[in-house]
Amino acid sequence: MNQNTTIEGGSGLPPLLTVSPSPHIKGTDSTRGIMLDVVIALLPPLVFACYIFGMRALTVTLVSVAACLLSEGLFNLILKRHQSIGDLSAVVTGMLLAYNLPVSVPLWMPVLGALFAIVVVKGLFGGIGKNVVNPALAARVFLFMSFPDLMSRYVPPGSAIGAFESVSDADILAGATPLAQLKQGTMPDIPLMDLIIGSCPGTIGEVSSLLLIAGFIYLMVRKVITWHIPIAYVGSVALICYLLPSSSAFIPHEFMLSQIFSGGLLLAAIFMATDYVTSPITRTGRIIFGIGCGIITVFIRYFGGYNEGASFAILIMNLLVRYIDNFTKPVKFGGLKKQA
Amino acid sequence: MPLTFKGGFHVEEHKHTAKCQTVRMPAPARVYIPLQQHIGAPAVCTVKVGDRVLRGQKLGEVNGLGAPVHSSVSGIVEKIDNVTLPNGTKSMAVIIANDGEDALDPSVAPLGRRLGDVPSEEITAIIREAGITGMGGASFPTHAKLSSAMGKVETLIVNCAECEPYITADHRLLLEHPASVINGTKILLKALGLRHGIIAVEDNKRGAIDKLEALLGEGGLISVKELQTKYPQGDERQLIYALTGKELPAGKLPSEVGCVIFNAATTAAVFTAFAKGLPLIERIVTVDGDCVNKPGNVIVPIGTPMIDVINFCGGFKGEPKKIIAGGPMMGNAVWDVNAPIVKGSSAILCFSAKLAKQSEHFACIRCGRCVEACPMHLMPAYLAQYAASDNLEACEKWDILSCVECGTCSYICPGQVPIVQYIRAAKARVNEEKKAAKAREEERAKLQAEAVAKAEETAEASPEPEKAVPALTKEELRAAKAAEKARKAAEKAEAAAAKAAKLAAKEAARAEALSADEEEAALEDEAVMPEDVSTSEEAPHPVEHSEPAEEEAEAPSADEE
Ligand code: SF4
Ligand code: SF4
Repeated sequence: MNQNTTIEGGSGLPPLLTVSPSPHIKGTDSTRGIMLDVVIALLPPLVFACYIFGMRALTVTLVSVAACLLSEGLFNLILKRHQSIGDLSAVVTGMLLAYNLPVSVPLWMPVLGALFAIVVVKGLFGGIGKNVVNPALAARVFLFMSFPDLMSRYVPPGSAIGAFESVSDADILAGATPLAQLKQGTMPDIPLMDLIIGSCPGTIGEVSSLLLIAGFIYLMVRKVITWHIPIAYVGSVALICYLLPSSSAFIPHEFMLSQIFSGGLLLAAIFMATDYVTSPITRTGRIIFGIGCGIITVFIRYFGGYNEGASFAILIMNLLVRYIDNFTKPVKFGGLKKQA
Repeated sequence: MPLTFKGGFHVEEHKHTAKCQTVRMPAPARVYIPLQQHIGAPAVCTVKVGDRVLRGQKLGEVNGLGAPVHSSVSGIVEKIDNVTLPNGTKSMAVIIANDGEDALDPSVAPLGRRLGDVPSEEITAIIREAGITGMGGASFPTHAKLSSAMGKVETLIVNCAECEPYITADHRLLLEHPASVINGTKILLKALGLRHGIIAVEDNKRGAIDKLEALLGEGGLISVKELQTKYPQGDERQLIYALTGKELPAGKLPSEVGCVIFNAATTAAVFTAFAKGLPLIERIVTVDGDCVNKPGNVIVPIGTPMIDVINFCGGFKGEPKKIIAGGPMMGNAVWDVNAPIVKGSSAILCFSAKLAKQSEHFACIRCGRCVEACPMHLMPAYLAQYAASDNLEACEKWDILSCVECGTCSYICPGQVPIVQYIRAAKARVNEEKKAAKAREEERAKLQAEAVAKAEETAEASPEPEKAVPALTKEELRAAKAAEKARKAAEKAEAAAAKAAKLAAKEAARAEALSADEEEAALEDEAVMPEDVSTSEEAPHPVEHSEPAEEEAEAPSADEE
């Protein structure tokens, strides 16, 4: 063959061509980009929480995010793994963890939760994509089991707690939360409209249903998530509550609406049940997953020992994801004809 | 509504050269005409070093599956030597020094007859003589396709989807020579005795669709169908599905669902062979990428080194890092820029380091995008995972053999997982495994048959048992004796046969164990290799698997072609 005269480099050697297998181009989607979209979708509820509970909401969130980033960074460093904090998944975990805590928690709690989420739930399983359950949710349940009292100290809306102000017992809400009232068989005293807007007691990120739904729409438009899990989840909760209210004293549609807009259902359905890693990868699977979450959530809310069932419901369904994937494996192209 | 299929993805088009009029490049000083440019056996060279050959003269002939090759210039045969083809394989090639006279071979002459007067067999023969093969990349000899489709198909499809990004060669052909494509289609219809042909074009080629429709009018033999612009719309299976709603499983031929597919350039080549008598000695090649000075569409003599084509397009702009023969989704990265253009070369893409960059770290985040995009409705994420952990059984169960290696999943993956690379490597191993299993099965059957034959022989030769029998009447005695004898013999034969069979089974099991060991050893070798050739400077991350070796995954699989 003739020589490489035309493309010889300065040194007289031909430049090295990369020879790699196809495809040779790559789409623009990246894990980092996706996570960034989730962070953006999560911001409005945070702003609202600062408005309704005070700047301490921001402090708790920042501490949680920082703790997540730090533990992931150190964990990678110690294990000599590829440094993955750039993919921003730890930021999402940190935000979600904080959103599941009441604004009154002492600041060591998000730190402890972050360590549990990042090291135990995510890191030890092999890092991003390998964990079986949602890190933020698992950490929330861990904290809830370990410190039930601290995790149930809600402040009333409009508390305006300063960024570094610690929360005294005087600030704590005396009455029952809407979910607790529903459990006791009475309608919440907070009007439905306030529940929807978020003028009600609750954890940092769960109160503003409206902004959570806005986040859902944003994520759909950006094609980060599909409708399947949130709609199947909330839809099945709505259906069960409407058809089978926990007590015949309730008016079905009012009961249904308060169930949907109280507690952490929307936050869980939109942001946590849709966590890629711990949800099915087929569309049919996602619907099954959503319905499963819905049924378990209602079951716990009706009969369980806790007021809120969303966390447990998702964690349980997380464990079934592999089976659901297996079960909903699509029929391969041209596969139907063969079976006929 | 443009037609389409389920899955796929609108890959960024990059059709920068869609407006570039085709230009004919002057024939280079030297052409390298490979004897193997097609599926099948390489052509046997019919010229010698020192011969003067003319443009269009046959240089190689084939028996059986294959296609002859012709000279694209006139000149002296300098050498017959091995060259590297754009797909990385080697082939003998006739190397001709161009004398610049462009003297045509006397065999090149128009047919000069009306299509109606040419019988079908003659059309096939002409196409064969002209060395025409599929020009979309796979390079299956067109005459062979015609013969095998004869009488079995009812729909002829001309594939003008051109779904690969960057490439616009077919688009330009349709814009500049729509009549060639239409006439070529008519010839092919005649050859197959069909009354209906479809020219299928992606809707990003509006101008071409309009031109074809204007020329064809309504209700003729041939209709134009608009396809949604989506990758891999040009894959045979997706194309058939979009047009007919039939699902053609992987590994099956379009004729099984009554279709036959030709590429746009192929139909035009068929027409050229009829109208001018010119064999397939040139083709349109798209030259593009961020590292070439003047991207465009070039009519290139077959056998021209890629570097000459690039130089014709103004040479490199900056330092090229990757050069691709064919499209960016399924083409091959070349390491030798002197590789000659062959009949199936649709594009040359020159990428700078910026475009050639590949992410080193990847992790599946289970986003499900690959599942939604896979045109074969597989679960690429799981396939990659099973392939990485060498779980071939699971790979097969999850239909790895149905993967057509279109690359959509790798393209779309936000976790940067090189899914196809994993799948390709595992697929090759699954196929090997299958072959080995088949061989074992045959071996066992043979052993068993031999053993049984032997057993029967011994049974027949065994001596009669002597036995004292109580006195009975003569008649009875004889009858009883005979019966006893028969029974004993049968018993013995049975026992012998059983014993022999047992032995055979044992032997077969041993043989199997042996070959299994060998195979395991081979697999181990493979598993070790990737790390040895890994070029990554970073320590391999503590994932339980290593990346498949580039070389290994790069080896073009035969079924792809
Ligand atoms: S596209 Fe990539 S990240 Fe998403 S599920 Fe498939 S392999 Fe995993
Ligand atoms: S390369 Fe294979 S697995 Fe990936 S999208 Fe194409 S057919 Fe599906």
